[in-house]
Amino acid sequence: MRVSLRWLQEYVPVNLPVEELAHLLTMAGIEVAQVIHVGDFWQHTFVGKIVEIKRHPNADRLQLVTVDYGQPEQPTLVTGATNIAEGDVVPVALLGAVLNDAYSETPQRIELKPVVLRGIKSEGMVCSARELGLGEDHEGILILDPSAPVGTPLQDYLGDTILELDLKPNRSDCLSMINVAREVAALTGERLRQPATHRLDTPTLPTVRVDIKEPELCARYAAGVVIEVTVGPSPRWMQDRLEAAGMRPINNIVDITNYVMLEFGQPLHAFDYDTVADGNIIVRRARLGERLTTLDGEKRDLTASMLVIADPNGPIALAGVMGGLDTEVTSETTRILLEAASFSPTSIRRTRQALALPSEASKRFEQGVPPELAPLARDRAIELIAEIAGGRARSHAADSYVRPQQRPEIEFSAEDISRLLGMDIPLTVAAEKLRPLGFSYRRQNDRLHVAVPLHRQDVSCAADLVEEVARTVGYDNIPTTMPAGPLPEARPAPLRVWTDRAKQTMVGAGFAEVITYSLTNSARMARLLPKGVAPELPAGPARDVAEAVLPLHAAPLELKNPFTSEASTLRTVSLAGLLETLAANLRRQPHDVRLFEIAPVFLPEQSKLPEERRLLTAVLGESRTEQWGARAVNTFYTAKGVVDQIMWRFGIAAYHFAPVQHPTFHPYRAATVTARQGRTDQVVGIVGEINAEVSAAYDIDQRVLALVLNLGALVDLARETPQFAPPSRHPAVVQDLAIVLDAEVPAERVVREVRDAGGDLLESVELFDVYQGPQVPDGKRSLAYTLTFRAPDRTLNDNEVNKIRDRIIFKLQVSLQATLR
Amino acid sequence: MADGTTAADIVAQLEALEREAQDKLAEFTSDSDVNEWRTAYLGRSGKVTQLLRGLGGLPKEERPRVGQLANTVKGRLAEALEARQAAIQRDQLAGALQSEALDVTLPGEPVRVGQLHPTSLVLNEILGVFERLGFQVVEGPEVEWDRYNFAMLNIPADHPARDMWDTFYVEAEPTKSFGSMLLRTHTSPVQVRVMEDTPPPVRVVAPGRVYRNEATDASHEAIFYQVEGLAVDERTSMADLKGVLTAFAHDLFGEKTRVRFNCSYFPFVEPGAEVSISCHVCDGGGCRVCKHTGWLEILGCGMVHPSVLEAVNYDPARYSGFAFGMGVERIAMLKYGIDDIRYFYSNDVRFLQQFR
Repeated sequence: MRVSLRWLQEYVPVNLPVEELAHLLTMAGIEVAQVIHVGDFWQHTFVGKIVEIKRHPNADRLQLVTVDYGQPEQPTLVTGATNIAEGDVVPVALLGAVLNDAYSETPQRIELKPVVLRGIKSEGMVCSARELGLGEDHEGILILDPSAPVGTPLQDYLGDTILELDLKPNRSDCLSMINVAREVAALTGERLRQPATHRLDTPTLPTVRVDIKEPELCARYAAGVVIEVTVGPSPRWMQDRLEAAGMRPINNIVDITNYVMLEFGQPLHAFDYDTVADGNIIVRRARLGERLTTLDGEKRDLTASMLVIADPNGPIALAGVMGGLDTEVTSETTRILLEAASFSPTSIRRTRQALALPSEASKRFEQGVPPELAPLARDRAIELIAEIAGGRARSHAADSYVRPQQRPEIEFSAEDISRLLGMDIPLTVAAEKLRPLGFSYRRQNDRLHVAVPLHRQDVSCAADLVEEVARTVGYDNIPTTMPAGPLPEARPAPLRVWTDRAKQTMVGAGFAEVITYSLTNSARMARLLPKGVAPELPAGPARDVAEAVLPLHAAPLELKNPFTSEASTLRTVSLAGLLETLAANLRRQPHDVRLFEIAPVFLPEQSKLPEERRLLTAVLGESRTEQWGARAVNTFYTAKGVVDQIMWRFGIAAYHFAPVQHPTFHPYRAATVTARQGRTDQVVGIVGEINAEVSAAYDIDQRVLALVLNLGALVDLARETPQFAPPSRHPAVVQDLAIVLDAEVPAERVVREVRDAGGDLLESVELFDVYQGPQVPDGKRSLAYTLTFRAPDRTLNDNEVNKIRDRIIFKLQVSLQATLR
Repeated sequence: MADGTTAADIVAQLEALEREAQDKLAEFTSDSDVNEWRTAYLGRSGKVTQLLRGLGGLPKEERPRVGQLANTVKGRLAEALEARQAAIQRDQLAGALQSEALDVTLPGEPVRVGQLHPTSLVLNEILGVFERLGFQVVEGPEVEWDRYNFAMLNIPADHPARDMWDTFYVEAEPTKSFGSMLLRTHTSPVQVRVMEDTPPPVRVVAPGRVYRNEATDASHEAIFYQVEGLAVDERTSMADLKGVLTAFAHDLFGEKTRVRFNCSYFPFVEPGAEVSISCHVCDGGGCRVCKHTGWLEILGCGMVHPSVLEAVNYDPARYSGFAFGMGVERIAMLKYGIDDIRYFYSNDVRFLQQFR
């Protein structure tokens, strides 16, 4: 809502700086988004009268205009405009004036300098609305009202201040100048002046018959009639006000309906009476198959959910949304049927949504227009029509009020205020705050019975009245305290706690946290599979991985109303988004990109909300910045080390890796992560190198390592508190052991055998070398371990250690056919 | 030793000998020379010892004085030797260290630590403040029912206030009691779920991802993070709300921050308010960041609407509460001076690495 300060002052005196007024309104819940000073840049610009127009001697398209602006000298201006005549009153900008550049796309100011046009010196300009910042119109010169005072600085005559209100849905009553004025009056202590309306009653006018078939959708329909009107432009002052409010002037009848709507907040519609069959207005639902050509020239198919205004021949308007073309007021119109009605907000809202037809009228109806307003606005408009467009009128031609609204009385007490605000306000003070807002009340002992004014449909309970009191007292005056009372018992939140710990671990491991869109589409997720590979996997480890952390086979939840097809589906997998993000980063910087995210994927469930499974996903490119002393590339083992680190942080010791062939991953460079819970093994994730075909689909031209872990499952397995074991005071015996065995034998198997044979005294087994090459037979490899032996209670002697070592070697020879190197 | 040697002669010889020894010592540079010197002056057949043998020719009463002097010289030379040896060792060490010289201007070994996303950093900070004020962190689902996201929050179907949230709906059969499935437009449904499950008093904050079906631009994202808070008890008041949020603003933006509450509207609170803080860039003077108003709007809040309390079977005559909600990215933008919300989902490491 754009509120012209000039117009507003017709209803309430404003005796404070506009910035202060804007602040007061904003603090009280009527947010002033912007204060626009119209014409604040007009200097050397006056109201002028055209005394003479001559042809430019050297140019057919230019004219020489001599103007009177109240000074002895009468400057001559060169103009290309053609809409002017001698005697017209126009804005005249003299040298030094600042105007908007009408030919610039972006707002730009230019200062008027002396200019010679085809040999004639121009001493200024006559201006268009656009040049003055008054509108978009640059078709011709802005013609002012003939009564405009010649010689007055234009700023004094046309300058204005616009308060642009950003109204919340509850305060749609302020889509009315009068109601804004009421707020201003209440906040500044001034008196509200409402326009007085009179009913006109010419007895011999044609009649209007109103039949409301849908009382639920139309509570009231009032109509007035004016005959012998002359349709033409409305007076300049009215056009100015409509333009200040952001509306386009059309003709006097339409302008008056808009003007009164802006004044009262009641949308009105004018029909050409002669096009309404039998003068009979029928308010009913549209019938299937009915069509209506609306004012914008569009043929619209109607449905039974839409409320229409019809005459006996069929629909003539979409109730509260838009009028019909056939019953439009035109320059030929002489008889007017004016509608002031109250429609159901829901019905208007649905019709507006179905036809995508927002209008100033529907905006107001959707927020609810009180039925009491209809006759008041109608009477005001009829009076204005008779005054401006001439003719004879009957204000009260019809008024069908089929569903009278009850205005509830609200009871409240000082205790309500004190309890909600934490501040004591005497009931008498509260009552005095409510009165200028239009509330009336009676007091009964310690309670106030408050009648809500008709325009405040948002007020329906004691809390609403407390807000009215609070906002007029000023929120700033409410004290500041801290909540007393007992603190509720703490609730455990293991998922959140462990999520934080996992994030810290990943950050420590060198990964940057990303937050990717949880909305994607099926094609984007399917890029995780090489072309031609079906998402359904046969039973086995790969299928287990899919079920746990990569459910590409699950049908995702789709959005009904996506904003873009790129983000139309709730993701079931997280890896796709991470690879997209990795690819984008690698394009800019090919080295050292390590990313992780902890976020849910959404797995649909039958008639329930989807399971939101929280996954930890990490990706990294193999490439590292070349730097002396640092490793050349990241490998599978880099990613695997990260899994170990997470497991260590979670206190999970019973887990292992096993090879897996999942289509998203390199068939020989990926492993399931399996944790033991009780006696069962559970796949909790996957780590590996991404299949080159898949990374190529993301335009990544280096090897990519990835890991996906089911964080929720890890939380279930996590051990909150580490258990202390005293460090041994006795020295360790450290020995190296190098063996040669089939390259196929997994290293984990070797360690298991070593540990089995080593028993309790074998403290640790650390791999320090892996060798495969000319020094060992074909198909074999050498593994070298550092074995640390230690007893908790004594110093081990060599003899003891050698015995264990022999046992280990024997075990390796027997079970794995290993030989000592 | 010739007869007639006097004490003075011996003393003079001693002094000369000491000078000679000291001079030689000063020239020494290696261990072997020092040993030679030690043998020559301090050894059993060294020069000082030999000189002392001449003591026998001195009168008895002079012997102690000259003997004492000789011992002193011997002691001084031994000390000088020790000092000289230490100096030589130091020189040798210095030479060895010099051969180990490093170019200290070469780069340090990078410690490869990652970083949390700025949204997480600020979210942690926000939650930290409220946890210190006794609020507990709770989470809820991102895919919700209409019932929790709207209906129980005093936003019935076709309520004009629904236009305040552009909602994504999910392709799923609506149920009779829960309505349509949708992506939550705020974390308020978490509050409803908490109140449904627990009797008052309640004091929680609910962080999480929320969704709005709207075009993205510098200040709007379709997905962002919110933190909402809720406190319900007997006599919880708007003054308490002001207290908690003022403490929050001071904690997050500094003690000097001024906090402003103005009347506003959210269907689930009444009275409702918006909170602005004095612009920390211009300190309220007006600048580009605050659009020359001196104030930055940071959150919405109010007293829980009686209809919401009734919906969860809390007696509004006995209990009252306050609720507040803020956009995490918005707070992060203000804190870090980020001018476009789309950076948060760009996940450009050059952006991410700026925060710690």
